[in-house]
Amino acid sequence: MSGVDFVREADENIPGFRERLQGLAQTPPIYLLLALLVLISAGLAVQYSAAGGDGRPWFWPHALRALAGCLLMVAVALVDVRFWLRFAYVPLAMMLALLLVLEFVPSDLAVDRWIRVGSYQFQPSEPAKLALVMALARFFHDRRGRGGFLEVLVPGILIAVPAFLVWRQPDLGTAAAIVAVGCVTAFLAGLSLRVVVAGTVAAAGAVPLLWWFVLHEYQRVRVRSFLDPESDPLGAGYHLLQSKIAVGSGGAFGRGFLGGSQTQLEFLPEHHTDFAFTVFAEEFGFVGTLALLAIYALIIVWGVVLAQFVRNHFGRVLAASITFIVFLYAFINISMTTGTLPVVGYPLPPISYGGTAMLTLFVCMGLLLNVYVHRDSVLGRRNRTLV
Amino acid sequence: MKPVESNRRHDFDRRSLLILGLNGCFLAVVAERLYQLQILEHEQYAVRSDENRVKLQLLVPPRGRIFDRNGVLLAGNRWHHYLHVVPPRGEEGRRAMMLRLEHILQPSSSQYTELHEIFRRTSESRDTPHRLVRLHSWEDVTKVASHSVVLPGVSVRRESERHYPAGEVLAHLLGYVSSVTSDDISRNEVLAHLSNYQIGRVGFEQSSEAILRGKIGTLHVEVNAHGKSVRNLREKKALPGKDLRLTVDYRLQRYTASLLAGETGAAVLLDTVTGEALACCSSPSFDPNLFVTGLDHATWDALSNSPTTPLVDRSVRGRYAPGSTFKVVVALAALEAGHDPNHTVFCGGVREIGGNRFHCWRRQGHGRLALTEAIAQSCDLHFYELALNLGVDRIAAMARRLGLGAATTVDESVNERAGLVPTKAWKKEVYNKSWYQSDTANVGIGQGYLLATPVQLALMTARIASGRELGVRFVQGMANHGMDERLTGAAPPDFGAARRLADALDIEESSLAFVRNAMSAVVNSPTGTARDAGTERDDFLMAGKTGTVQVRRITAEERKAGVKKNEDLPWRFRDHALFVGFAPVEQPRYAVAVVVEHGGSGSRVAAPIARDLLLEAQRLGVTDGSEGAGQIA
Repeated sequence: MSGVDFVREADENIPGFRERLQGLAQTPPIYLLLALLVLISAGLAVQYSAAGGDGRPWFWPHALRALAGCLLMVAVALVDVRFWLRFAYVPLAMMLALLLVLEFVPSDLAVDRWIRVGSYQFQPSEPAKLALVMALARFFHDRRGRGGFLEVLVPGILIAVPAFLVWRQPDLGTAAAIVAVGCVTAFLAGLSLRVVVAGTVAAAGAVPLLWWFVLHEYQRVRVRSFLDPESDPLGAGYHLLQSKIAVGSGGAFGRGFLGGSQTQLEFLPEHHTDFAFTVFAEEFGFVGTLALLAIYALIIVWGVVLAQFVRNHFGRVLAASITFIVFLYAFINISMTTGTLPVVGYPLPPISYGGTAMLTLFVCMGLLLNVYVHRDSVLGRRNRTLV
Repeated sequence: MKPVESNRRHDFDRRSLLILGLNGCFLAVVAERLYQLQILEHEQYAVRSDENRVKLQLLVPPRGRIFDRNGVLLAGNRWHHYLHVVPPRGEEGRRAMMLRLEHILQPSSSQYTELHEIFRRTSESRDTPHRLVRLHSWEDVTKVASHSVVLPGVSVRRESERHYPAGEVLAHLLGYVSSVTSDDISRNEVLAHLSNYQIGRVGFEQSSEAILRGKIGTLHVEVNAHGKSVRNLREKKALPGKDLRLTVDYRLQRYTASLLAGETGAAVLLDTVTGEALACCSSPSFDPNLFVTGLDHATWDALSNSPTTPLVDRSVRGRYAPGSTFKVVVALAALEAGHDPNHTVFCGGVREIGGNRFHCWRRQGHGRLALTEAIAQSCDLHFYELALNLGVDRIAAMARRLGLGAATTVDESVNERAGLVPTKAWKKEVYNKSWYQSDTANVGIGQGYLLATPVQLALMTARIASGRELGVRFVQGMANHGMDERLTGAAPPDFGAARRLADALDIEESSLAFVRNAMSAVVNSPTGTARDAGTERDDFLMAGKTGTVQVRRITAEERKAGVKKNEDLPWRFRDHALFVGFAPVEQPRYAVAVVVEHGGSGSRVAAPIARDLLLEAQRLGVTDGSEGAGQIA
């Protein structure tokens, strides 16, 4: 592309606050909201069941978080898109700062992904995915698709730094997810096709190197136990085996709410967090899991379809990439609990218990709604130095 | 739309739909996986889920108790508390659990090593809780209970354990229980699941195992991941076994044991009306409680290798030549064959039979004696004569009629040995040799091939005394009892009434009366061999027959070296002392047989024991029906 194509655009069709409110209230994205409601309900059911049919200790905090998440979602949706565009690099910068804190603050535990302030915990690697999407969307929004070396280098750095820090924690699953999210975002945003092809080939070649030089021994054990979980039914394969038993024994229609013996008798490890889907699968069966999968698919399709109608590049990329984040939650978590992927510790919001993932999901949904509200807005570039 | 923007938008649309398609494919793979797990492989996982949660527990009913005839508890059950644990996963968790248990229990050093050892062995299987150690005090039990929160998978369980209050006094008769071995499992697979079950080994515990054990029930319980049972799913109730009441009187048994203390031998006291065994004692004995808790090697070696074989029940399994006690059988056979009891035989101390010299025990001879005196003085030559005239087969027939050579018990509750009553045919079959006159002569004085157990000798005496075809009984009755009573030590149940009288023996009463009279002379006439062992009570005179059985002759060399008497020989070569008797002479109530191995003379060693036993039975009035439930102090 040459410089001739460059035409400066001004911001157009930016709705005022009242219009944004009306846009959301009068033509609400009813399918998206219904889908979210169903997911939240499923999550609450699981949290209630995992505690053996008790509101404590997980159900009520989970409900409160969901409520707070919904409010946050609406708030994020109603903010002027230009604010998000202007400060699109800030979240990533903040997450990197927090990840650096985790990297350099000594910790007792071998695995530490959490920032603790009082009784609150925060896992910066979770929102880092969204922050990365925002940063990349902004970058490509400003670049206007002119290609060149910068369009490989900058996204490369933006992806590699958080991925590296998360891998150092060590949290291989989330690090891989960050790389995937970053690559897909860059691809959607208009990365040159040649770079895409070259990158794909390079990535395929890197797998053996990763195995031998990057993975920790305990991570390799996990992968091996994933490949043959029966070899060590009481050790590393125990979680997975119990999880598969729970999912499989659910059958077509499930064992009924509060009726899953794997859940109620505590054979399932982590059954309210990373393995929450298993609880759902055991008690609601194939019909339930298929419905759950369909709901996630609905959100994804809705987001991608929305992206087709958005008139600004930032919003388009944001919407489509956010659906990819949602896809990854569903795909990695369910594959992990059903034994098609290694157990990597990846949550499934809003089913899993855990504030950070829930927060991330609702901010994602809020941004999706924000894109929906501003779908007719045209946005000019913000950063001239990158041009 | 500007060209760049429209290009980029075009690209975006294509690329986002491509990503959407890829996502759709991946989610389809996930759905396919769920279909595979939840629909296609559902049954397999449903089974594994059940295997996880449902555990089979076997319900072992408390073992039936054993009482003596007066309701004294001889074998009961006691509760013990054991620490059970489902070992935590991983080395780390196990070590932490170990430390906590140590901290809470502060076990002694031996318990500590036990704890450690078991914990190491039970590292892998998480199927069932493992029995760790026995908690000896209530304090320990409460300590564990109050710390249950920090000890997941740890539980205290009660188990009943066999207990024998009578200890050594009834060890042989009762037998004992001990832990299931791999041999037992190969015979009965169910036992493999009863790792803590104890099975009856010898005595009544073995012979009545099925009666005492009852039927084992099953319980399917739902357990959680920590092995803790959550609820019962299905239960097949256990059927408790039965309580047994023995015919033995504990007081008499204890007294018998005290009479035999320090000796090697056996004594059996029978009721001559019912055939019930009132006392049945073998010495030396052992403590059956040792087998319940498990024997160490040293104790086991000492018991099993001891030359006095304390584990063998001599009363029903010890086979001895009956010696002169057998002369009453020969006398009865002769009388039944029409022998004139007034016919006299001259005893010069020795005679020749079949080319061998046969001595009387009295070297100088008895002179000319009729049958009564021949029995009273136990003249050997007289009985050589009678035996040679009768022939062995007629003697054998009489011996069998009196209960020798066959099992004595009617209820098969005791694992006894039959003894041996030889005949011509038997010798031909076993040794392929003809029967010689010298063989007959030996049988005539109760030696040679002849073998009898103390209980057989007692039965023989009881049959002579009563004239009835008695059988020996050890079990008076059995009865059901609630399981609770069985463990609280409640009174014994009602065991039912007595049974009918035995048939009369096919022997002339006059012959029996003659022999009884002669046996009375053994004790009560001034010439009798047991004249010093009389009861000296006119209302309770004893009748009997002594026996002194040669274990080995004194050799010519020994005689030269000065060994004149049996007492001069080493213990193991000395004679066995025997005595059979009954009392009172008129209307006999009790019959007794005493064997003291290497005791020397029957009249000096065995007869006083028999006398004391009969007197004690009379004093206690064992068979008077004066039954008061008692307890062993």
